[in-house]
Amino acid sequence: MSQSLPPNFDGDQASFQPEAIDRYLDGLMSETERAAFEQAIGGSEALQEAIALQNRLDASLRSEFGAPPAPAGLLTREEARAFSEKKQSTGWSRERRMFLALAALIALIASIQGFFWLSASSNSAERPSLAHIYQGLVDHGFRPSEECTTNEKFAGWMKAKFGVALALKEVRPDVQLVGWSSSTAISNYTGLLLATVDGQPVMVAIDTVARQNEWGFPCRRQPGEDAAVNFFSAEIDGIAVYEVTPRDKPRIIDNLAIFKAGQ
Amino acid sequence: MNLEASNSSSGTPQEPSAPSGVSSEGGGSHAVRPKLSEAEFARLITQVRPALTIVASAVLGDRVEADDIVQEASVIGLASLDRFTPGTSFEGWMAQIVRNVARNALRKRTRNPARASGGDALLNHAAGAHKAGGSPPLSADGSIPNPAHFDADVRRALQSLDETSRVCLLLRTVGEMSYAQIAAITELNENTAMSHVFRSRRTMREFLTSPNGRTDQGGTR
Repeated sequence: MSQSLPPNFDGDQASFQPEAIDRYLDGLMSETERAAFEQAIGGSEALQEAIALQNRLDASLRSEFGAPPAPAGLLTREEARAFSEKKQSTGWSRERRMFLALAALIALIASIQGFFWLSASSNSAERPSLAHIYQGLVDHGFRPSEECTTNEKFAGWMKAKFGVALALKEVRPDVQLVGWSSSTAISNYTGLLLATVDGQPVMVAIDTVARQNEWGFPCRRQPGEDAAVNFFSAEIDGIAVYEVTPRDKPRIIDNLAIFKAGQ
Repeated sequence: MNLEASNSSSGTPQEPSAPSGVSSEGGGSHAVRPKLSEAEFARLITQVRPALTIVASAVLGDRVEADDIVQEASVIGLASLDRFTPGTSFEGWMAQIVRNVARNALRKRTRNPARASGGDALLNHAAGAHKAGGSPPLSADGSIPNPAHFDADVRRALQSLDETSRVCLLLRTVGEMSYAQIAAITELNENTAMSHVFRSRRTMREFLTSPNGRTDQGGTR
């Protein structure tokens, strides 16, 4: 055994500590140790195979688990604000008093039923209404988490998020896609498509029919909300869509279909 | 359209337990505890999201639902801001919530096998292809795993590890994080995190070179 070799090495692969390969690959060996180990690698097919296997294994894990993040953000600032607004204690408007009274009633019912507050927070009873989310988006410039102005990109997002590549089936000159965001309106995984119709902001809440049925229909107005927007809904290939629009007819959900290349 | 709210609690994750060292409600001698603002939460969650996605993937064993798990955990974290103590590890706190949510999702999968992930379907497909006479092993002596089954075998090997080991291994391999970062997320000490990674790699290598551990060698699982 060479004097320069580390104590865990005697020239035979079997004499290395079991974690030597890991320390080598992690760059945790001293220069002396590394040189000795590389010398051993050169003379050991077993070591070469083990290192090749580990590299291949790492590549497989990166490939399987290192997918890029989902296109949609977690929550927009507006959604986060809407979600947590009930927790704030300032701004005692009439609407807020009514909302708090409703929240107190819900809390009373929840406590009678023995629910913890947090578990109740995920129930649809406390989900922000679509009108509330829509208004929040409009008030803050109708900005999406991610811009999307093409049908193809929209279809890709739909496929990635919901497994169904819905897209606009025909080009309508008055409809312009803006982008998407995430929301907690229907479930914790609800997507929002933002678009304009004749320049007016239109929001489409999207989720699976299964989640919609699990949580209950979200298209309800909360006390104090005016009727400045209209709601339209549809179910397409297991996907539930709700168009929230200032217009009196839907212009987007009636134009959705499975995306086909070249569409 | 005015419709009544559903009172269903199905799919609702259980309340995450406060991480060690984090008190729940303001008792004791702490008269005032500064809270994390929503803006700070939004900034921090954006920073740690990739790591949380890896944690979710590690618990689930695949990447399919990881984004949804992180989003659900973020909602819970946002609603529980008063339970977080500024100055403690935010990523550790959120990672614990992610793990709880992911475990619940895993339990739902177990209860409802029809909702098995696409990843499982891929594994079944790979195993089925082998049974149907799929690609032969790459090397004559069978020492090199068949590339056609390798990814599926890697996933099986990963599933043979315990949850904490999977989390540490994926944070290191996929997230390329330092052991100090992994320790902060897992709330382990650095040496323990490193031991988990080293042991996991060795276990997986042994699994993949064992005739019983590989699809192309007729391994049974």
